[in-house]
Amino acid sequence: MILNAQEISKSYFPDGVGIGRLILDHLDLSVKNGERIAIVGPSGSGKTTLLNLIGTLDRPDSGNIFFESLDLSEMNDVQLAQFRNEKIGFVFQQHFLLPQLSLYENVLLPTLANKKLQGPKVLERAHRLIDRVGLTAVMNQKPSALSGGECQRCAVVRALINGPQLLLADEPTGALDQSSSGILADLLVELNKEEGVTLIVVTHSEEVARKMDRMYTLKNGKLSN
Amino acid sequence: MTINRLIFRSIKFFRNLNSGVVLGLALSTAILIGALVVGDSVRYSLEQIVQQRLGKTSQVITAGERLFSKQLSTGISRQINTETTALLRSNGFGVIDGGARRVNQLAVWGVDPDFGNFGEDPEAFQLKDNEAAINEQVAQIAGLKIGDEFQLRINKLNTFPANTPFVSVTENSVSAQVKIVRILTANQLGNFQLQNSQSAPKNVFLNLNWLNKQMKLQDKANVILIDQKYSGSDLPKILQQNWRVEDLNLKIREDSLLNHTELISDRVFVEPSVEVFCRDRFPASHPVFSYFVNGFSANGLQTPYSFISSDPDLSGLQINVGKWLADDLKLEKGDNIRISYYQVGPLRQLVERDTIFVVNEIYIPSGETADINLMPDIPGLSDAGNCRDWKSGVPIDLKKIRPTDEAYWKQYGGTPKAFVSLETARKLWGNRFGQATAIRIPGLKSTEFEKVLLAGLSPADLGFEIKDAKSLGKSAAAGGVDFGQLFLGLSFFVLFAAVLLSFILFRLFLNNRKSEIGTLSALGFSISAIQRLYLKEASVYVFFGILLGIPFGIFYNYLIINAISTIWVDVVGTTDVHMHISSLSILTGGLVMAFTSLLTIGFVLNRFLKKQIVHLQRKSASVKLKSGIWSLRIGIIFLSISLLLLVFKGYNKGEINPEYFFISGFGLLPGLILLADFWLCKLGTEEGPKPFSFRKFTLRRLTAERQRNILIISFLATGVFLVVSTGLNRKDLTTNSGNHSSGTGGFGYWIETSIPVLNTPDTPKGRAELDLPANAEIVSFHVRKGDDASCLNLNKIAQPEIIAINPKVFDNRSSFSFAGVLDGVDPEHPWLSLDQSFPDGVIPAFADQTVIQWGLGKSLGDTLFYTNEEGKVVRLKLIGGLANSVLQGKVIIAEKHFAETFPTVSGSTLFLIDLPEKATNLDDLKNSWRIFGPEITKTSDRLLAFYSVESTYLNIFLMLGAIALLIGTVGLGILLYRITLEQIPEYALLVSIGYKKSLIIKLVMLERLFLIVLSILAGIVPAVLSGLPTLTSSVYANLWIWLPIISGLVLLSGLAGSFMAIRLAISQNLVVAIRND
Repeated sequence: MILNAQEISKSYFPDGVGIGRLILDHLDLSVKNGERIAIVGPSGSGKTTLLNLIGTLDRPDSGNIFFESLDLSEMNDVQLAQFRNEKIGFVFQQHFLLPQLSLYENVLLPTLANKKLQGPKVLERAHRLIDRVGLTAVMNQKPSALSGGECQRCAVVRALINGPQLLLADEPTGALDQSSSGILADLLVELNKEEGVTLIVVTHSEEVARKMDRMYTLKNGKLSN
Repeated sequence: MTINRLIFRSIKFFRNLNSGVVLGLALSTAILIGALVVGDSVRYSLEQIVQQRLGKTSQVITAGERLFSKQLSTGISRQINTETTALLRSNGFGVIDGGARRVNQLAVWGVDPDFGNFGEDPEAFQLKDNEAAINEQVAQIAGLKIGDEFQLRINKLNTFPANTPFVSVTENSVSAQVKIVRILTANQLGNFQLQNSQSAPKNVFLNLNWLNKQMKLQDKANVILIDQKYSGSDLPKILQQNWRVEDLNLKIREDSLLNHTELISDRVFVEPSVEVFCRDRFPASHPVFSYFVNGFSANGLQTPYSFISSDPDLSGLQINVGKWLADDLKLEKGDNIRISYYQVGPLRQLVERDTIFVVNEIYIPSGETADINLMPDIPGLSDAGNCRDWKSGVPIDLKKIRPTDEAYWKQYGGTPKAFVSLETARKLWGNRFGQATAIRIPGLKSTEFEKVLLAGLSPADLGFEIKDAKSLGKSAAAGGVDFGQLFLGLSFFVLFAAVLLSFILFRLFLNNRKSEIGTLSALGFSISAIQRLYLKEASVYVFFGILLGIPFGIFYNYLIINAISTIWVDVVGTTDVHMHISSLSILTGGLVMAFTSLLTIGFVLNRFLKKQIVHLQRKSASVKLKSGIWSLRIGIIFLSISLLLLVFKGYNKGEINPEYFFISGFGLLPGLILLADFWLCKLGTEEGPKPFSFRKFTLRRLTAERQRNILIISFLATGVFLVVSTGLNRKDLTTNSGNHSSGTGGFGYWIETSIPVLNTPDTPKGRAELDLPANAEIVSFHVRKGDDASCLNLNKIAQPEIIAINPKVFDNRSSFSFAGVLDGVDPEHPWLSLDQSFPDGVIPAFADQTVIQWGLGKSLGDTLFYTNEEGKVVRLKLIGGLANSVLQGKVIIAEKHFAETFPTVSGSTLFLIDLPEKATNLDDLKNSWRIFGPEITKTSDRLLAFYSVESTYLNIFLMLGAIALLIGTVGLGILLYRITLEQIPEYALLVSIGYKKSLIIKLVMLERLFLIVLSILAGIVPAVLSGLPTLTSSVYANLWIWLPIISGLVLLSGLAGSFMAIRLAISQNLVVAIRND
């Protein structure tokens, strides 16, 4: 089991005080190594919140999240940053590529935060992954010269550069047209298989969800099959 | 819901953001109002100083060099039914602890107790015998306290001018031990003075009768004060009705035997105006001119030292000789007789000459020819019992006096031994003091003559001056330097920075409401409607900003007033500056601020709204990369021009040329900014094989925002350059001070004496008496007292002090330089132009160009008006302006014009000395001049004292500039915060891929550090270059400190602002930035 979320709850306090709005209510989720999970649900149901909790960008109000045997709630911010850098990959609805960097440099961006990840091996991996997603020809271009689909594929490579065990994708196809959306979904599945990375995708797209091993619906703060 | 309610809700909701705008506006208002109130405060303080220095005095009667009876004051008081008081004003110096300490340039006032009624303490001037009251200034300078005694040496006043020919001046000062019984405050009239100056005088007050006694005078005074209760304008008439003949220093005597009434003067010579009056009123009157000659010689015989008089019946070189003289020289009718005599030159210079006359008649003295009264009353001479007791102002060789001469003196006194024609007597011996020694009116009673004389003479003709001192003082105070405008100018950068800050905040405020603007637009609000809505909202912030700025402004004013009373005291020359708040200034400041704020906000709003529409049309952010080759090319051109200018013009014949250093630095600034731009471009386009690293990432971030970063660099570098270079732009007046063409004229020392020096020291004898080397060059100035028009006086001066010299002296030395001269002035020999005579008696004059322009508000070719001691209007035409010189504050004319215009001004109190030998130092000079109470300053120090005003202004500018930079960097911090906010999604991404927050902070701080250091370097390097002549000067060694201070200030505040911005950004929930919904 790579991920085990137990009884996690999260509320939001729009005014910072008073009675909060319960988003996740004693939610449980277990994900096996290499598994592909889709999480669907209506807007505002807490899908991104759940993904952020899993990705350690946020902390639950209660409950525990275990990554393998590691209790994430016991880690401080610095440890969590390192954890994210080494174990987690993120893909967002927007590609968030830095306009001043080339595609290749954007891919290498996560390696700057961790000296252990720097060196010839990572460069070789970057070249291989870029080639894998078909961006070798434009790897020295700036994001402004590329299409949305190309940028999003680059964002996927960036998420995988450090060899994470868990890839979290938050509406990765949300900003793409149907054709690009299909290509990206296939790419994620293929990379899941090739890299052995566990994949959790939050999506509104049934087409994308169907490509996953399991699909959960998040409603009223709880997951259901 | 109404528009107003929407505005109210917006104000409430965005209150935190708005508070920044309000604070920025408050700061701007504070600076504006603060500067205006500084103007009010200085103006008010100057008015208060006028009030303190004059007390309840309104009009003042002075009589120039003349002394009158103090009863004149009583008579005037009785007639106008208002309090008056008579004063005797002289100069002096104090010797304390047997000479261990000295205090020079004292104003010594003889006062009656009723002088106290003109101040707030009527008992303050109850002085008797040798009791003295001093003001706080003297007490502080001399370290004196109540009960102390010191030796006071006072310039001895007489009823005749000290320069009067033949009058002995062996005692031109008197000395007395005085005891301090009171130290007077300003409110007790301690700072009483008639000069328009804010600086406290050094006053010593003594009992009037006691002072008279010390000067061997009786009941004499030279100033009358009139209480402010009297506001009439008929004082001249009242003065006329109350004066007596003795008040005019005249005497009337009736000779019943000779049947005439005679008018003579205490001043030996009857003033021309009096003579003219007598001639007009009494056609039968005739002038008498008697003179003391050195001797007669004829037939190989000599008769020494005798009086000779005039006979209107003689003409040409005819002479009637008394029998005694004829016998003595064995003369006969038709014989030639040589008369040797002294002619009167400047100061007390005498030139011995002789003239041969032809004996017309030998008479036996009787009647008028035997009249001993023909001899003028010359103290020390006419009253001597015998010839050996003569105390004359001319050298007398007593060895020449024979027993027969003594016998004549004993028998006939100073009865003339011969008569020459009046015309010849006047031609040979007439002088600046007069053309007659008596006026005789045949057959007139003295009482009748006195009546006509007193009623007919005009006060102005006799040198009496009646001035409304209070009104003139107030107008001088009000018309002086406008500190409000001055501080507005000095605070320009602070004001600019504060206004800029407000608008950066307002821009930020608008940026935060982009979506609201979009919504309003989508809901059908037109741009102008949105503009009106936001303008209304902004006017509320402007109102509160101004309201809050008023107390801040008062506090800012408080700080400035404190500073100009202490560390910046050089600019006001007094510590007596108090805060005064005028509601008009506050209202003006508030309205100006409201108007400019709303205007600018409207402009910003308009631009923002238009830009927003364009922005909506833009698809995505892209980074345009430029090679920057044009920046490189233009930058190199700037750099080259600036360096070439420096090499070829910066040094001229071994002399540093500060102007070219400044221009060179000014050119270097854009050059460096453009090179920085090129560098950023180059970094941005650098693809190379170098691996992607943290450094490369930082540089990529910098180059991505190249335009914005270059803007920041330009803003900061220009700010640093302007503040530092302007602050460093000082003149080193000491480097070339030895040159004759410099502001010192090549003279080493400036000496002002408390007691006039009557004989010129620039003679071998004079130098020997003063222990000066034989080759020392001394220039004596004749001085007509007036106001100081230098930059050290804040009052507006209409009649500066006049000083006179022999122009040839300065011409021979080529002393001083001219900033400008009128056409017609020989540029090779400008000084000689002072000797010119213009039509209608206009006198050519020079003054410092700065005094002409700023002190007097005049320009070359303009005329200054004075009234001389005969009541005549004297017109001085400004024909040349001196470049910064030690003569600042004074108007310079030729001594020949001075002697004609101000004949009774005696002696000299001002000197310039050039000591070629280093043997004589300041202490030697002080010692040798000590009997005159000298204030000796090095000319270079005097120049620096004048320059200290400008220098202090520059210090103020530097300090305020530093504050402006501080505010500017706060603005920069806000700008960086805005950039940081815009970059939040980027930070969020970095967090999501595992960047620690500390690493992100490091990244941003490195980037900002790079920017700020680059900005400082781009600003400070040209600034140092432009100020290099000043920085390398030994006089301004302390200015180096400003470089690290300003650099440190900008660096620290910039980094602090950046750190706060990034901390604020990072502390937010970054995840929100990358949420999908």
